[in-house]
Amino acid sequence: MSTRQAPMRLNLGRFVVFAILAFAVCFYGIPLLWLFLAGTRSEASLLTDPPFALGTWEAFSRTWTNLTTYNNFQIITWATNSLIYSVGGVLLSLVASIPGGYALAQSEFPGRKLILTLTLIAMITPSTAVVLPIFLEMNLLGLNNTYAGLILASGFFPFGVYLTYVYFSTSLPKGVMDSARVDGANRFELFTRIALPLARPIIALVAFFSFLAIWSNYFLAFVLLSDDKLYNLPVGLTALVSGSGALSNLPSNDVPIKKPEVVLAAILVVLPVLLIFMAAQRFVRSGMLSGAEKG
Amino acid sequence: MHFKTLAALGGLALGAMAGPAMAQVTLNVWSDTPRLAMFDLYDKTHDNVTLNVTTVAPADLIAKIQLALQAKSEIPDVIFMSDIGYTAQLSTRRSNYLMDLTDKVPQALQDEFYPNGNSPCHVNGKLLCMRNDLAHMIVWYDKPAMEALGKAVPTTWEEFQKLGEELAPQGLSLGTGVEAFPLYAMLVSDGCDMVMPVEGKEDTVKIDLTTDKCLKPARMVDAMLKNGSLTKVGPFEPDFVALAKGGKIPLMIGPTWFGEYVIKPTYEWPAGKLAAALPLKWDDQSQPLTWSWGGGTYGAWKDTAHPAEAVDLVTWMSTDVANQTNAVTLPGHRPSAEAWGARLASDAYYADPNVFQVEAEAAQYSHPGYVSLRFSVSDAIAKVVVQPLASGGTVEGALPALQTELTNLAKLNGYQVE
Repeated sequence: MSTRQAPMRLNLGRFVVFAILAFAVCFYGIPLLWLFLAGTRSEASLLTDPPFALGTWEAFSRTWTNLTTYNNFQIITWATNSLIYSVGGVLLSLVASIPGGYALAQSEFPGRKLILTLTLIAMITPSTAVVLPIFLEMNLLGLNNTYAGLILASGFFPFGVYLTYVYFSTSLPKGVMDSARVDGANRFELFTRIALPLARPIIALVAFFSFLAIWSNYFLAFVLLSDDKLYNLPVGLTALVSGSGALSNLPSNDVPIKKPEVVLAAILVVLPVLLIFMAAQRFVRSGMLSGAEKG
Repeated sequence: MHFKTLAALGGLALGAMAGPAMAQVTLNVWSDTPRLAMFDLYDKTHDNVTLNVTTVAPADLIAKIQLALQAKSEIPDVIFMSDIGYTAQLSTRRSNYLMDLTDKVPQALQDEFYPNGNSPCHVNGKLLCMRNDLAHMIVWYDKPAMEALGKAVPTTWEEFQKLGEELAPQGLSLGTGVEAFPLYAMLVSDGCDMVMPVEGKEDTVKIDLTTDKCLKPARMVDAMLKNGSLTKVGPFEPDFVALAKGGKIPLMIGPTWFGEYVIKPTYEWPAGKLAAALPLKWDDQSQPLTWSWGGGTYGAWKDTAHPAEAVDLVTWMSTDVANQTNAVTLPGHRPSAEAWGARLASDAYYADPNVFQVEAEAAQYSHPGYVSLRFSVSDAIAKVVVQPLASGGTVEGALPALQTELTNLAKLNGYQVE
């Protein structure tokens, strides 16, 4: 038996939708396309060839070597640091956000509304506004210039608490929880045996957003870290690029970090996020849609 | 470092037997990337000092120092400052970081610098840093091209303007008229009082852009922009690079580092073309007055636990001949510069073996007003002069607005304005 699909007709509405989508793809995709193509080009090519010219393997290879081998493979140290901060920060934010959001959604206790309001306020407060107080706090605790200090500061993720709260408020069937209670499950068991297994999409979503925030975090790392051996990628690469004068029109040095190396450095920062998003797309999408329909 | 620790322990053991040992000192140093090799050399050649060097983005230096001062921890003992403005910014009441070196660096050593070489380090009569490298403006030109054109290299600004008029119809130009620093250099070339320190008065500057000393260069730039003999694109923009590569810019005004780090790698002039000439002067001047574009400095923390070692490091970095011989840019210390310059004489890239002699002689004419300020004049020029040029404005027309902008900035930063 064969099935016949209805032929797609191009009416005005569909045309407008496709036109808007095509515009969006071009508007947001072209800079990314340029970035990836520019990573293969030499300094001279970047200045004189057409914007979307493809470079050569030799140029890319030289750029890669210049960037990765500079100062005894310092960039590898920064990438490792970024990974440590990100994994540590994501774990800490999950440990704090998931039970926090669950407790706010499933329990009634004095001060619950106040905590929810404070979570919302913390969410909308620009992160840069709290960086200095965090710096002074960490300084008091002797945690500046340590892995623990930045991980602890990065673990503060009110958006994750709020996302989890929304998820557990809307997507956790009340009947399932009541049945478990009738079967004798205590509060801890309700959370670990019922809520957590059902919360995989939201855990993935919180982890993804938390990773995104920590991986690309510049200002907090810039303020808390002054030892270049502890820099993360954004701070380390900024120091390298700024020091070489590649973008500031003061290239009076022999540092092999020029415009192509800067482009490649940008790709190195963006690439992990792109890859993780593509790998976790299914979870992220289902997490974002969770709670959209109460059931 | 492990070897040094062992050596230090060995020294201690020997000292216990033979008398007092030299104390092992660790200095925290904040450097930019290009200076790492020089600090490393000091570390290797000084057994009693270990350097703990951290790379800090030059643009972040002030904020980082302020944070460290606030936290009262991790404050560096010695720093490299890539911007001459940082000296003034790190010697304020709130960011009082820099050590006064006036009596700590022997006068004889200070006198070994080129004239005005340490001007960016003198703030209110105190020597607060030591200059690493000079970056004064000279004339760079394509020697075979100028010979083929049958033109002499100009020695005055009037000749420069005339040369531009003659070459513009052939599609040739003499550099940029819209980049802040070259524009700044041209505007102050006749002694225009564009935020110049007033001698004998602390934190006092003179700003007067209404005199002929400012109007004359402004009119020259306007005329040259109008007839195309100065380009309306900056020297790092693709259009300018294409012109320079295509032989359309036979001569330009640029800092001493332009030959090695812009014309050679970016404009890709082949060997045997590039030559240098002295900075230009005005007909009514007895000698040129040349501005600078860059040049870093070293400073030390005034409250360091190891002042003698910190001063020694600052002094060594800026004046040790063996160290500065391998510096990337022209040293401010004359004996170091002379050793450094030997390599230019044998460099086949240049069409003239006297490039270093030109740079050294030009250093005599460095502008005494190239000092450290708590705000950026070049940023103000970029905002108030360069931006209106793109929409048909003129330099002369922008001077009143620039005077207001600079006066406001000076007052905002605690200067008395005359």
